[in-house]
Amino acid sequence: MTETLSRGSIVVRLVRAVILAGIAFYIVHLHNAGRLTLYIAPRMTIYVKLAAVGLYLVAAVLLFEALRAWNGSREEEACEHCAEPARPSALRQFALYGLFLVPLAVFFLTPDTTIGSAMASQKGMNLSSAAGIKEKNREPASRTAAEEGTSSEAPSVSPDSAPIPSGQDGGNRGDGEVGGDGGYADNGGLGGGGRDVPHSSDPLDALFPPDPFSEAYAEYGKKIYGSPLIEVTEKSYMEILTTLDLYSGAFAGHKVRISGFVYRDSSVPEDKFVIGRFAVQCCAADAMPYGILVDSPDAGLHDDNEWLTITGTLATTKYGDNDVLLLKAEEAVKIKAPKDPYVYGDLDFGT
Amino acid sequence: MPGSVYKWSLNLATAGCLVLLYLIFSGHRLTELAALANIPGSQWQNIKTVFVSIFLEALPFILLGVLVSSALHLFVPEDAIRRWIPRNRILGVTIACLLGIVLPVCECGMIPIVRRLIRKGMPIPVGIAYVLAAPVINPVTYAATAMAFPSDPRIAIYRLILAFIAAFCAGLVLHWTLKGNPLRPEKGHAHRHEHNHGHGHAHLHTRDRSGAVRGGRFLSVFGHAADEFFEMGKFLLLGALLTALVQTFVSRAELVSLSGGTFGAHVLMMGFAYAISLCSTSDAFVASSFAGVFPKGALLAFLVFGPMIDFKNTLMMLTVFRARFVANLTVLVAVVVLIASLAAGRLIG
Repeated sequence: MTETLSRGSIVVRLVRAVILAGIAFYIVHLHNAGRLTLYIAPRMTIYVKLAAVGLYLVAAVLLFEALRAWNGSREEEACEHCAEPARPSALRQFALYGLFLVPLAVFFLTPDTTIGSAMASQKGMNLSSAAGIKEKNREPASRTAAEEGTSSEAPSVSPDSAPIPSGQDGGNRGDGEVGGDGGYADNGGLGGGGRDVPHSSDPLDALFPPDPFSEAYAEYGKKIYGSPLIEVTEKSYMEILTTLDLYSGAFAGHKVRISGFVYRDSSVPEDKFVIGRFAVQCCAADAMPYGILVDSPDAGLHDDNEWLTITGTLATTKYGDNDVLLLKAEEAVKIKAPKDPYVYGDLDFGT
Repeated sequence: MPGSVYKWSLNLATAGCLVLLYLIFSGHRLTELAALANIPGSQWQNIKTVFVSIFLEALPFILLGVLVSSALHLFVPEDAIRRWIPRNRILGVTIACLLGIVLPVCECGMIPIVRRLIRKGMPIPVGIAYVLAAPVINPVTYAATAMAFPSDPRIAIYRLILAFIAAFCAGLVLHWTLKGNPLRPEKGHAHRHEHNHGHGHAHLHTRDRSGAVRGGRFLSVFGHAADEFFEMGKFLLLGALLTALVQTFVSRAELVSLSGGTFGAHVLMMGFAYAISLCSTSDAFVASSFAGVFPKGALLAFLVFGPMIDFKNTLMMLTVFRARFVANLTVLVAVVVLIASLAAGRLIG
């Protein structure tokens, strides 16, 4: 244990210190340029920044050790053989550190952009953000279809996707709930209650029948129902889209404004395109594209990935086997891509 | 060192084969691989974005993992862990499955820690049960899952139950069948560590009282952490890169078209979870986007299998365990998760 640190291991430490500091510097660099959120959701960035601090610390210790070894003052090192890196062949070392240095160089030297239309097509543009909630309600009716592995991307065909308070609809609703848990029975009562007088005196309750899973959306729906122009904001993008989709019947004919990038694939007709955005949970790897189908006579004028603000009237249409929202564009304005292109869950929604 | 070259080429070849298999099964013609060279610029950008985001996302957790592991190595005596773990293995495995509730560490940070714990005397079935269960059975993952499936709280609960069943079964099967040491005898490195211990301790005891040495020991936590960081980091980089390639070139529509029937959907979702290597806190949102395309049971298979075994952590596990052990473990977990999720699918409807 008394052999001196070879020059090789000093070099290894220096190389390691450079790599670790390089990664830390890359994080700081992204943060300063305001581009960290192109990769990491804001709620996670604090951990990544802490990691940068940690990496700097480790790099500093390695540097310190290398300097101390260089000066030959090793007496105080308690466990130097443990800290000494493994010493495989030079070729392998070269490969190992190259594996870190090459990507790091690529990270620095290539521009930071966002994932766009091409990625949305691989991941599958989701045109029915309320599918998860609706699916629950229509579950008993179409369970078999789902089990057979139908390939419908975002199913929304269900008697209650357009919650118009007609007696017939209420009846359907009741049927659908047989076998569900307690929550639905309530819902059915209210749905039918459009005809009779529901236990609440609010007339909007009929349009926005609350159930335990969509209560927040129902509340929000009532709030925006009267407004002359419903703006799909960046902050509550997903939540507002879900509300509109969930109560598409009630919102038909309402004016809506939304911004996002243009998306097309082979299934989108020529006079239409999709305006969408990626919703990110933790990092860009889990981004899911959500959007709304836009009907515009000028559809051909807009390129994929172009950012637009569309103002139009809301309707529904058939897309594949599903009912989805359709925005009949009245105005399309080109905008600059926002600095943070993604949208995130709105934690304040419904509070 | 021919051995190390072999080790490397084996890992790379395994990774390469997995990608090829994936491409074959997803209906790509292999000639398309030749087209990789002329990928358009936008695709390269997509690859970079996913690659960097996975790398940055995992970084804090890996760093935490290697720091904790180094601290354990330097400050916890050799047989302490053995004394803390209950003698009764079944009880030990049960506790390990639930340990994530108090010690939630995500899968990336887990592997260096558990390797250290196993070297410190934690029985392997117990260690493996902890690795498998902790990413799912913890409050953070539960909350995220419940948030991703607002309309069906059963999903989050079933996810916990299935993860427990899978980790518990895997732990028990290992307990009954495991003979010998599945830890990879790291060429040179680990040997020297272990072999040095005898000496190291003799040293340390005589010098422990002096403050200066204490400081040196504290610093060497960082030195150690750097060792392990580079060991794990190379596989993180490879895993992130391959995941980025899969995400960029394998489309979901193609995936969905592959599945036939309930069984096919379950297998497919498990394969998908394996390939995309997401964190256990965010994968629920991806799973929820499949609601309606696939039955709930298949979503559960995705949610339970992914955090336990995925591409990124297979590569990292290979630094710790023998390839054969990793392969057996993967098959074991896959079978248990498949059966449990099929059963749950029937229950949940």
